[in-house]
Amino acid sequence: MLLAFDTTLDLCSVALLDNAGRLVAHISRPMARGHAEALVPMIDEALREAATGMDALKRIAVTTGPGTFTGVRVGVSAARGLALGLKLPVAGITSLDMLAGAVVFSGADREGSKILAAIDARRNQAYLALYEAGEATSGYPLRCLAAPAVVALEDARVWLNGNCAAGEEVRVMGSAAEILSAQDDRLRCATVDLTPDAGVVARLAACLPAPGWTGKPRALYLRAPDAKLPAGIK
Amino acid sequence: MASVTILGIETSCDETAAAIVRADTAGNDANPSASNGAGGNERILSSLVLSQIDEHKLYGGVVPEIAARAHMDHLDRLIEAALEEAGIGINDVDAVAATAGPGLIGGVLVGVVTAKALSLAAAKPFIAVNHLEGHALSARLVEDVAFPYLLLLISGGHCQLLAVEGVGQYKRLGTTMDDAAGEAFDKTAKLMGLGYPGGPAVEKAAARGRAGRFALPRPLIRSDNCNFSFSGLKTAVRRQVETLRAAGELDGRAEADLAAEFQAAICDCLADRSARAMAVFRGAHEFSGPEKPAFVVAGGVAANSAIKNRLQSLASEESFRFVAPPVWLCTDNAAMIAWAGIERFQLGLTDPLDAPARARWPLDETSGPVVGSGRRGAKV
Repeated sequence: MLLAFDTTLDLCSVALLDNAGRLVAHISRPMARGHAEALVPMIDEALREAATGMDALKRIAVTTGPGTFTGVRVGVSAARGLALGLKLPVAGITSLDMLAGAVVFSGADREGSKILAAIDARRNQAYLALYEAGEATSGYPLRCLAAPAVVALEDARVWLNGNCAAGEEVRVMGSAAEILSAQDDRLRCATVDLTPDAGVVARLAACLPAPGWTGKPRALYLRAPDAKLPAGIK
Repeated sequence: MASVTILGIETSCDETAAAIVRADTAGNDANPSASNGAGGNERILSSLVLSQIDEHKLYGGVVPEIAARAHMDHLDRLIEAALEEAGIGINDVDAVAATAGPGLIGGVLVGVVTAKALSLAAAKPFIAVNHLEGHALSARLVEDVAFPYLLLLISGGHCQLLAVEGVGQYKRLGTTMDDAAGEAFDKTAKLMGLGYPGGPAVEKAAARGRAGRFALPRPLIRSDNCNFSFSGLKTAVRRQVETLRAAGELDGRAEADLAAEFQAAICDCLADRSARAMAVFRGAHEFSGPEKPAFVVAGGVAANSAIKNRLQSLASEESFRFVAPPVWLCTDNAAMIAWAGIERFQLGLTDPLDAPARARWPLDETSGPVVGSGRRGAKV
């Protein structure tokens, strides 16, 4: 059984995937804040829903960000805590992978089509990563063409140019999809029938090759902490 | 012999800490203090503290986001090491206790969520510990101290006088209206360019200096309550520093003398306010027989030896038994959180997995912040 959860964006979600790849529990709730209180009981709830226990868990997958700093830490802390207690392998999946995964798993994808995952990072910036659907050899359904980065909205077009020819169509998914598609003709908002949440994370993780399961998940903030050097005493 | 073993986790400020503490439960369960004979060091199976001082030094204070990130990077490895040093596995603990506030919320969340996940994984109860209760009960980890006792809690974030009547039972007698005592040390050190953290830096400079050369105020001294105020003292230090600097007279000698005067002012304030609290405490609690009531001084500022000596003399003048936990137990650590966990666990006090992390969490919930004239009030 694979346990996956996501707390990086505006949902709190938990999913359990059995060894045959079926979602046996899937809880997803809109949540702007309060993930720290909700997540662990929700994992417990998912286990009950699947009529299973901790001992059935074999692997844990968590989204590592980018997203809200607090949300990122809630998920990664919970994953590390569970892994420590259960001695299980953990995989970190970025929230951008999750967004692109929702597009891929929604079907109607031809090999090689491009997907831009775009999260509104406020301050007129977006967290971006560019993907290509399909990867025959590894089994993971996404190939990352441009690594996660925080990009000013006005620079998004230039950022995309390096990996995307003029006139090439790219589907864009995430909270910054609308604003970006309005300023770049290549971008078209993706239509999906899957919510980008723990259910997608579980399915992505199930495809993740062995090397993805070794180390500890590390938070992906993409932004330095806000800290100013002291200018004097207040 | 029956015993209880608790994993404690502390992440509320700039120290990441994990500890395993074990206590005997033999004897009278209704009165955990009855079995308090063993020394604390035998109870502490491991206590690891990872300081983030270097990460914050550049900024002259703790940066919350940097702290939260560092806690997350290190906590699980530290817990692993604490278990290993104690020679036990997670399944051997009876409960997982973590600081759930008050403190920097980003860091607190890391500790709380990790603890909850561990507790779910190992099917052990979770205990949400008030960081201040950790300090408040820490004396009982290392010494036989019966309830009720008078507590002076002085740290970087807190400055309070409390009557500790039992686990979870606190009556606040006084608190700061603005800065905490440790905050005053940090700000003074920063003003004088003595470095960070400010407590040890000021103490070191003060040791070379002479109090009395400069005149600093003793805010609220002799006022008819048990409250503190340190922001005026800090402002007076700033004015003095500015005057000296303008005159080109802020040399090592002046720094040392000013630090000494500042430390003397803090000592006077703490002693005066504590003396008043002792009278209030005696009036509210009956003590018969030869047993003196205990005056416990806890928190990071209690590591300052001038302060400790001054409060010790006060206790002996006022017929209180002076109790100051060792310095390593006064600064932030997880052994005190595990110990508070043990005290709560023995009373059946555990918490649900949706228990919140709280940035603000007063020990005495009935007492609101104290606001002085024109001030914004204390942060806690």
